[in-house]
Amino acid sequence: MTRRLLSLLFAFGLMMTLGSSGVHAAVPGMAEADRSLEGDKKCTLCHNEASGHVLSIYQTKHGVKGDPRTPGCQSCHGESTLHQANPAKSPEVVFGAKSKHLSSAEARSETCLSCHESSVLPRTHWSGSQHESHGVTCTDCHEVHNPNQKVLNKLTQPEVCFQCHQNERAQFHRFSRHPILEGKVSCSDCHNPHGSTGPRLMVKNTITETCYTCHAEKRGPFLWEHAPVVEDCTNCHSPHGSNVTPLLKTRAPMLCQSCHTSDHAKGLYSAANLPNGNVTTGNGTIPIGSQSPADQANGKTCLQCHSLIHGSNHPAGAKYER
Amino acid sequence: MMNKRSACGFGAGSMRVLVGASITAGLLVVLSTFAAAQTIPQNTTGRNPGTQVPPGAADPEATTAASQTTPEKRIQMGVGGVSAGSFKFGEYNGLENSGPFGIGNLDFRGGAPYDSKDTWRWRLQGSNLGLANRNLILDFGKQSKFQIRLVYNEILANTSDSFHSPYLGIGTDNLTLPTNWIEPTVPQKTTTALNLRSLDPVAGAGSVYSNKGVPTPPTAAQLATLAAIQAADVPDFQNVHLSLKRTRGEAQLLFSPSERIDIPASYSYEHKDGLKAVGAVTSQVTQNSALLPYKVDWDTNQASAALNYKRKKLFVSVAYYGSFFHNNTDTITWADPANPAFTPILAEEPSNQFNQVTLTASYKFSKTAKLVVVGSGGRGTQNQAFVNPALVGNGQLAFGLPRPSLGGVVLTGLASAKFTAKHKKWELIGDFRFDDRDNQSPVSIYLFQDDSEPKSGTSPFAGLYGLPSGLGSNTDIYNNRSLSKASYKANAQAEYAMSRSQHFTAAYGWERIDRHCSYSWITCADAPVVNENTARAEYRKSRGALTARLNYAYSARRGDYNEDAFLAEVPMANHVPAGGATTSLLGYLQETRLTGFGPVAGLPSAPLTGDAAIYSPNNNTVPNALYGSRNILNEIPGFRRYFVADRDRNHAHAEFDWNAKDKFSLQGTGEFDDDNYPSTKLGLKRRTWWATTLDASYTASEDLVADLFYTYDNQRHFSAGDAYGTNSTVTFQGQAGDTVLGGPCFTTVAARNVSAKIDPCLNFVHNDRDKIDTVGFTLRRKNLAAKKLELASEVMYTRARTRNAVVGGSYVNNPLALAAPAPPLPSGTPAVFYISAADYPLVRNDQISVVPSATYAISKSARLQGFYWYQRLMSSDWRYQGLQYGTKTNFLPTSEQAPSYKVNVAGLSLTWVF
Repeated sequence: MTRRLLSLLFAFGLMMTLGSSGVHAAVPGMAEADRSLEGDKKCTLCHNEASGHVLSIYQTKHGVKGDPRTPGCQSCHGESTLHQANPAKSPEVVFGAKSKHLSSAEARSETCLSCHESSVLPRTHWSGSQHESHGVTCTDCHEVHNPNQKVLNKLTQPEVCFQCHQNERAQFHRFSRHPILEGKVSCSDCHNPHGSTGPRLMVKNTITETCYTCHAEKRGPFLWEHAPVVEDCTNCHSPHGSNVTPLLKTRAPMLCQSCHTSDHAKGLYSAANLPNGNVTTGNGTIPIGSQSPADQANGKTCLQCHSLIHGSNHPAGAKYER
Repeated sequence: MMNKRSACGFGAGSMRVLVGASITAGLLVVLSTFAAAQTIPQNTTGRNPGTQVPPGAADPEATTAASQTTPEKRIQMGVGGVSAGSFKFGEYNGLENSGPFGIGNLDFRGGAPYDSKDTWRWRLQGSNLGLANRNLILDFGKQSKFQIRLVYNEILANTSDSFHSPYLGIGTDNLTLPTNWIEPTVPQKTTTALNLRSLDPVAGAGSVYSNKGVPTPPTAAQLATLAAIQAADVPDFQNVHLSLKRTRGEAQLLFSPSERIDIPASYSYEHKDGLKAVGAVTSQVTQNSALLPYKVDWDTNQASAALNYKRKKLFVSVAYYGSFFHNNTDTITWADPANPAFTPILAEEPSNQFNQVTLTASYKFSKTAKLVVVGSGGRGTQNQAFVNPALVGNGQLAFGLPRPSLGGVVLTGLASAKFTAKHKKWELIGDFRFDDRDNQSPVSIYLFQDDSEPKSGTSPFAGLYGLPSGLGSNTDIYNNRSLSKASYKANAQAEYAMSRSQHFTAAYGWERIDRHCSYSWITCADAPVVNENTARAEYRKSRGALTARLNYAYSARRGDYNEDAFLAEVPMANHVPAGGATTSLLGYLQETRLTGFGPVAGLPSAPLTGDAAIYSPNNNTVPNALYGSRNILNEIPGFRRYFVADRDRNHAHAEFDWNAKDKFSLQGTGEFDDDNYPSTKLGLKRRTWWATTLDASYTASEDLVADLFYTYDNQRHFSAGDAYGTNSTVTFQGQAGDTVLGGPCFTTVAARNVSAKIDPCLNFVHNDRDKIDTVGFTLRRKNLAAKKLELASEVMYTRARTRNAVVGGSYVNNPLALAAPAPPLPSGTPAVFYISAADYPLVRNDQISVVPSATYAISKSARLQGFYWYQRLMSSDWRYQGLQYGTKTNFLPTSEQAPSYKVNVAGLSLTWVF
């Protein structure tokens, strides 16, 4: 116990020692620039309240001048001496997407990463991530001057993501979907747009671990595990939306028969037994014309009996029926 | 500029917070008397049709420096009305009930001025405060020192408001049937077997074939019995709303004791409760089952903490994540509609725990070269007590349990390293990743009866190999499998900058996946080792009026398929059964190189003898009793499970953004996926998906903007199956063995009987296709009526079709030919019909919504907003047909209907900004 306490104290002391150097000094990686309000005046004399919402940045985290890490205009846009001398010349770093002088993706990202790569809210996995590799930059999603950034609000975040992920936008208007449009689930609940250790920018190491953050009841381990469930939820589910509830890639029994062909799973299930379909004779005991759909071909189909398809913890649940 | 204020920060800020919180609390009380809704569209200023923005986003321009630099507070209050109740319409937005509702949202921000030395800031946001999906977020902190976020959130998920159930005790874990419940039977067929068609007056009173093959209507006494069943049982069915609700509280902290250290931490608690429908089977033989209103009462706690150490070139983080799921109900018990005294038990999702530690380190060798390494280890446990065998009916667990709980342990691990470097025009990425799921849960043999089916016969393993002597031939002798998987992945990518705006990328990836089961007596994986190689190329142009990206990837996955994997759950396959065999099932399969499916073709002239008798009679698949399974588990040759099978994958992606003119832009996206399984003869053979979107945007002026998009999505699953039968020499009942057979494959029953395993008429294919069109349009007009009025409108339409097409057929006996003694059939009358399979009816979902809205600026601080919202869903789905009275013999009807609706919503609200 004493040893543990000492260890903790040592760790805390080390942390404080390491952390005490340069407390709240300027961020090492940040471009050296005058970050004071006086420095900003070089810009705000012209880019003032009449220039759109430039000054709104002072409502944001990037405008809190009491924070020594807070950038000035030139921290991000560059010293831009040419621009100061001649407004017709563009600043050194131009973020406006429609500007003819738009800076390269690398230049724009580097500006942000000078602080955010390892110092402030580090984006350790950005380099080499899918977004970075595809030329996406921070300001494609973030409106740095806007105190109500769309991407930081669950209700409006999809609008930002859908700018590029247009097919996904349509998928979220399907019959079965996650409550993205209502702001109850956001894209960033599952995906980390800044890069991650998981596939497809998952916020966790794997797809299943990511799903378990909301669906922990499916984590198990169960006594009787179902292999495709354990491996990857997207083996059966389309998380962005489906015409088949609940978020299924296709309807059971077809989905189940993609993997099962023995016992009654080998059977052919079709509309032959549905009203108005071709009829069978129900073992010859019910008159033709008033047939029952096969158990596996209606309602919850296979899941009518194999309802614990994500795994069972009943000693008699090997077939996911208990 | 704002006035300077005291730098004592926290205290002064706290006072403001307290005052603000008091006002807020008062407002919440007022608002909570209404139903508030933020998820209703307020004013669509979004450029993406179909998305919604929070209220008041469309503000008059803030033109003064003070207004631009001062955090504002805004509150929105109003009233609205819903024309018709619909669970589906209100699935997530909380507007499922008709009638009036209130609109109430708030967003308060404050704190020290931006030019102060104080960094204290706070924000309180609230939405949907009176509805069942309310949300509150409070942020506060001193920037660079600490930040705290407190979140309260409710998430609603309505499932069905048309579900009916006869059960009592709904909302508990014990469902019983009313005392007046009579087992539904069709007495003209049998007076003992459950037949739920009897609940419907028409279907229940249908004729049945007599033993002479004559359709015979029910007698008066039988009709009276049916009437009594209906009078007793039908009124017992009551409407039950199936809905789930999550209530979640979360606290997040970011503590920065120094510039080089961050300590983020979070804790959340979530309670989920409500009802959902779960299938519950009571009979293995007849497949009697019910859809139960299943009580959900779950708690999930999640915690995370990290210590981040930051230097200019070095970043090191040690992080912890824990997730703890607790189910407040262990089991659910229900009464069998065929015999209410019989109460089977279903085990619910077991409580589980997960702890994980992750170490991340990155180092920048130079401005353009970086290495990131990650190591992560997790431990998942589950030790929920098993259901008590003494409480399980029909001797389902008559032989007891090998252990009282699983003691499940799963170890997860991740090790990855990624190196990125830029040199002149090149950007290089190389990464390696090892991912492991090691299930260390103990493996034991469990003896049970399927679905509580009473024991019968004698197992050939009874009294052998340490097993009890009383085992039935239908007793399952199973062991659990601890599924484990390890993957190794390496990627190399090179990007070349052809110019400042054009880049070309080439990449190669390799992945190997090893699957196994801990403590398994045999290789349990369908594909123990799988390798996949991927090549990818990409071109992108990122600047100018036209930007574009083209991407193509091809991957090939290959592995050896193990057709004996199914035996991993049935350990008796490794033991010689009683009855004369000299080898085990596995031994015989290995000796003959057959699979559990047995010989494919050819019928022996006499019953097989010796060890070959495991396939007798008649080239059957392996008799279940010989490996201790109640069900046939064998794999038919040529069958492959798609998630491990050999696969060729083509993926293409194209997108462009063309800013034709300042006023007009066009965007397009196209995606194509093709998964082809070349070694698969049965199972999913091919899946293709492609989608394309076109977005057009027209900005006539700053005041008039229109956006339009169209997406077409096409998905296809193509799979094959085989409804093989058992070869047979038995002559058709009442008819000669060469009686005429319908269908194109064989002319006589006898000919079909000897080739039932290779009958091409029993092969079938599924061709499932989704075709979905989505159209969205928004129009926004600002600065009308002396710049005080803004109009917006949004239209969304989704047309979705799912076609489940089937090609194949099945044999059905001619009921007249079943009669004994057989009535004389006219010459040439088939004794067995061949019924062609039929496509399922289309699954249709058409949804349209039209949302015009208007915002009028009464003053600089007050705006009046009004909206109208029309939404209609036209839905049809064949899955509901079997849930109606009179359609199914053996599962309880629920009377659920496809959730079509037509809803009008209108609202008027006042937004006050101060």
